[in-house]
Amino acid sequence: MGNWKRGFAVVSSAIIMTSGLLASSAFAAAPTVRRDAPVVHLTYWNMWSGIWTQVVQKMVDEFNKTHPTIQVTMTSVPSANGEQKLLTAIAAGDAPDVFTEWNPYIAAFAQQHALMNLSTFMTGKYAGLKHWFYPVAAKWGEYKGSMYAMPWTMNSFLLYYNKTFMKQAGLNPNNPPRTLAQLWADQAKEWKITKDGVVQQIGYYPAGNFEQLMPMFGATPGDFFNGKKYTMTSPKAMSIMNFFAKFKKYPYTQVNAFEKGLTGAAGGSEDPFELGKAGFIVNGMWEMPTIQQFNPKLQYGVVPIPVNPGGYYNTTWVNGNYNEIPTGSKHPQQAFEFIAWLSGYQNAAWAARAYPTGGWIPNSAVITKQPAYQKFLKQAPLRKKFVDVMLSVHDAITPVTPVDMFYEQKLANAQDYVLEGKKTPYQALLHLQQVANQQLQQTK
Amino acid sequence: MSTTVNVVMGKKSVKPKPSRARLRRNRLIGWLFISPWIIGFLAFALYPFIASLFYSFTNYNILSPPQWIGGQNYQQMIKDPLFWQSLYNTLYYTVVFVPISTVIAIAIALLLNMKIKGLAIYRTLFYLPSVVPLVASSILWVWLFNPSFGFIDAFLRAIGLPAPGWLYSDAWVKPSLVLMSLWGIGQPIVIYLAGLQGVPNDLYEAAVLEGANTWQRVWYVTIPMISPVILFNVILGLIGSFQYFTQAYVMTQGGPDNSSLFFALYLYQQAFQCLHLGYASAMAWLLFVLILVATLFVFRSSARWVYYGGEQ
Amino acid sequence: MVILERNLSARYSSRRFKLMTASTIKHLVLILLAISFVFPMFWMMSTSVKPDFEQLRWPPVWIPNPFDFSNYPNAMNFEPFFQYITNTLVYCVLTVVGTLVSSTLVAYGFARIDWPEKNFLFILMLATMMLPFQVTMVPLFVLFKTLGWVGSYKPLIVPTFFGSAFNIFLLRQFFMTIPNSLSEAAYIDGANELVIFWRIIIPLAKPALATVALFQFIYGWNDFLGPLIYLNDQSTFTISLGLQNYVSSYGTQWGLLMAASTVATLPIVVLFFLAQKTFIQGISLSGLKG
Repeated sequence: MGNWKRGFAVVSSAIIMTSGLLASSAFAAAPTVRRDAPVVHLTYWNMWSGIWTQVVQKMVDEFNKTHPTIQVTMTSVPSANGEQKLLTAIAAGDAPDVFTEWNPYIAAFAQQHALMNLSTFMTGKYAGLKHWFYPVAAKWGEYKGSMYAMPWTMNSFLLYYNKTFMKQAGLNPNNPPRTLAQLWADQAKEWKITKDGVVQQIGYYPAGNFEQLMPMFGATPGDFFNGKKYTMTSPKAMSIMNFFAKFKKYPYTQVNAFEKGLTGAAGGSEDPFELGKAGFIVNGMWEMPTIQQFNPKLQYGVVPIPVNPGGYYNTTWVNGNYNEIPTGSKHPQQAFEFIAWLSGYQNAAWAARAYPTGGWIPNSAVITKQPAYQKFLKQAPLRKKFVDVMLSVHDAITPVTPVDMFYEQKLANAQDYVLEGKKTPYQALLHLQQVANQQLQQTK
Repeated sequence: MSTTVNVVMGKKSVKPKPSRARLRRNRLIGWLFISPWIIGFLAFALYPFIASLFYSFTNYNILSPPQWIGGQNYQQMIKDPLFWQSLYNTLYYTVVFVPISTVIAIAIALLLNMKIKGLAIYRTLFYLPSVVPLVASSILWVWLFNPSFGFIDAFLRAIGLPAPGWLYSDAWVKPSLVLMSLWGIGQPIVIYLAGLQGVPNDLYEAAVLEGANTWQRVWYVTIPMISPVILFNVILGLIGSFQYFTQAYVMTQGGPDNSSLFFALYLYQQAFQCLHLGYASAMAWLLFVLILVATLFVFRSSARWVYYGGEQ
Repeated sequence: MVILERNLSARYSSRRFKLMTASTIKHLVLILLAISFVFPMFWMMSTSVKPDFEQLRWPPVWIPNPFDFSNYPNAMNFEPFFQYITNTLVYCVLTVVGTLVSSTLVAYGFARIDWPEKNFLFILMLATMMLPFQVTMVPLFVLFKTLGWVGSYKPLIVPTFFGSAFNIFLLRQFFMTIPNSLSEAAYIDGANELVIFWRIIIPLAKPALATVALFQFIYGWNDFLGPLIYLNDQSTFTISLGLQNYVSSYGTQWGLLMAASTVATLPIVVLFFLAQKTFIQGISLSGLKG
């Protein structure tokens, strides 16, 4: 870091401290800064953007106010090419003290000793952290039995259904599908394709939902990865892909354009459902504020994803945002204190008030049970369903391996091959298994 | 070495040879004039070049130190079907985009060089797509190219033509991206316009006196006179096309079925998503050689078609 | 006599008619082409004044109904927008100065002086553009880290004072079209190379210099990867980084994004409009035959 940067840090910390002093004289309850206590400065990067930058900045401000000896400076890195910045900084030994990452990189970073083993910090007053999180949330952050990434806020997935379309198709909008067979039958009635092959409305299209459908077929990470190798031709994987194969009767290119239409643009997440062009979609809770903003008239409902015989109803596939401490961090102990605080451990009441400002699903049932969070859920009954599915013991995640990023890319390709009819489910999965295992071998 | 390069560069000495003393003096002055670049090259470019060449012979995942593995990355490249696919995609893009964009940019520059009212506005309008941030315009492209609601397909169907799947079809994704890139030729247009100002009027007058029509004047006067900037734009177009990345990264991520997986995109995925910076470096150096060969080839040919006023 | 006069006037008017149709056709062609080129900008501006519920309508709404200008103040308050604009402006102006000072000198060395090693060095210079940035990025970052420059604008500005291959090449092409006889004459009159460079080449190459300055400015304005990698402090960010803040995989603020993009693009458009006269009208070599 250059002198200029250091200069800025001094100035900004001076500002923070002055404002802290001012605040403390104004509100007697606020902690005062002890002049002789050394202040540790942490740099913290994340890839939050949009309204979430402000949500997280407020949390950091709150931490700085309540922890006078640790001052955190947050940088919100644009998520486009964000990993490039992070990796480059790590390579040059210039990594921040803390960063928030999404899950597919965790095991790769842990394998290369780029992250600190968080389990070693979980002693004394932090001993309880080991059992604090939703088990499925904790598993994403673990590599070879130790935690390398601390769960912060989680994503769960449910089925959205368009009530108007159901009525138009002669279905009962108060009786959304509970089984995949019923979903298949219901959605088939909602497609609108003109004579010259132009798609105007779709029912349901499963592209990209392979992982979200795992628990619906009773699949666990163990079905796809045996601890050493990917086993993608296992019966569970085959049964999911066979479900995909049914959809090859729809014109792939046209539907693909429809589905990916807006997702492909500039990292946005828009989809045909929220624009009132699709009958069903599997998605997370962020779909709701988007509909509220851009298409407020849409009549829709949310239910757990329908299941296959042998699958588990009222469950979900989970991913989320995780906090990590790079190996190069200069103040790991303080960094750990910061991320433990963010996760709501020992300050669950605060987390229960703060998480709803971002519409977040907590990492722990303890936070969910807090009165403040329950109050939030009461006001938003649809959101409650996203939180309720977090309690299932059958919730699933993708196998955590060092080539996760690669695996997810190739899995997306495999789904496309099957939907397009270019490969049979077995061919697509076998190919996926081969390239993923090859990649796994190369990373050793 | 310098004589080889002279031949490669297609430069024949037309001028009478300067005296030995002047050559010696010129050498010193020449080095002095370009010394800023030499210093910059030694300070900021040389180390990254050598380091990336070194990485190309290592197993380097960015997170831990590189390990020497000899030529394995290069051997693996030959066996990697995605490497060949991305190479093909990039060559396709380059071969289609560079000639088409050159012709269209010159044509528009000629149009914008006429004496008509409102030229300043026209010139500005043609430059607009080059300055609209991609983050804002990409959503428009996705809409324009949408087979169901897109403007382009609606138009094609209206006049009874088949409507392709554009960005979402294996066969059409590359032509779609070329089409999109053609919107961004504002920069070459500006360079051609600047070049056109250097064409002396009396050359046109002489051509008119000899009875040349408009096309003949363009072909025999304008094109040769702006050939130095054509050379510039062709070479920059080559370098840019071989490294084509951004639109594919933002809009197609290489799909469908890898048909828009361009070389630089695959290289990026290998480096920062699969954490194989060693392999990516080997790919980059192969690309480097390809671009260098193509550039030298163009330079060599330029002796036959580039005319420098300064050489008379 | 009368017949002749009538003939003459008929010929005169038919010529005028021809001229008029020619000019109408030219305008028509230009307008048709221009419409397609204006499209992205038009789309951006129209979306920026749409109410939320019209921004993602499918098929799209071209003319907002009703107009909603609230995206502009909202976008400006969403993040320190004008701070980002100011940062970008300072950064761009400094790189333009650096580029003009260094690239003209180097281009002169390559274009106007005959010396043995220049062609080899010229190819070497072009070669620096041929290796993708993705693989030189990490070692370059390490280099700047060693110099203690990371976190500041130095890695983005200082190198421009040593010339960039793109600009040097462009200027070289223009310098080479200037007739040799001009500098030869000055040389015989006793002028040294610096005098020739400053008194003859620079004045004649003003349009090329304006072009290079404009390109460098716009390059800095739109550069994303450089500022992303080297800047760590939110308050030092450029506008290209700032625009990304409206985008999120959990939901993009389209209206704000379009409003902010419009405000960020307009200065460039105005700059171009004002500058285009300089680089289009400046040079005319007629009468300066070699």
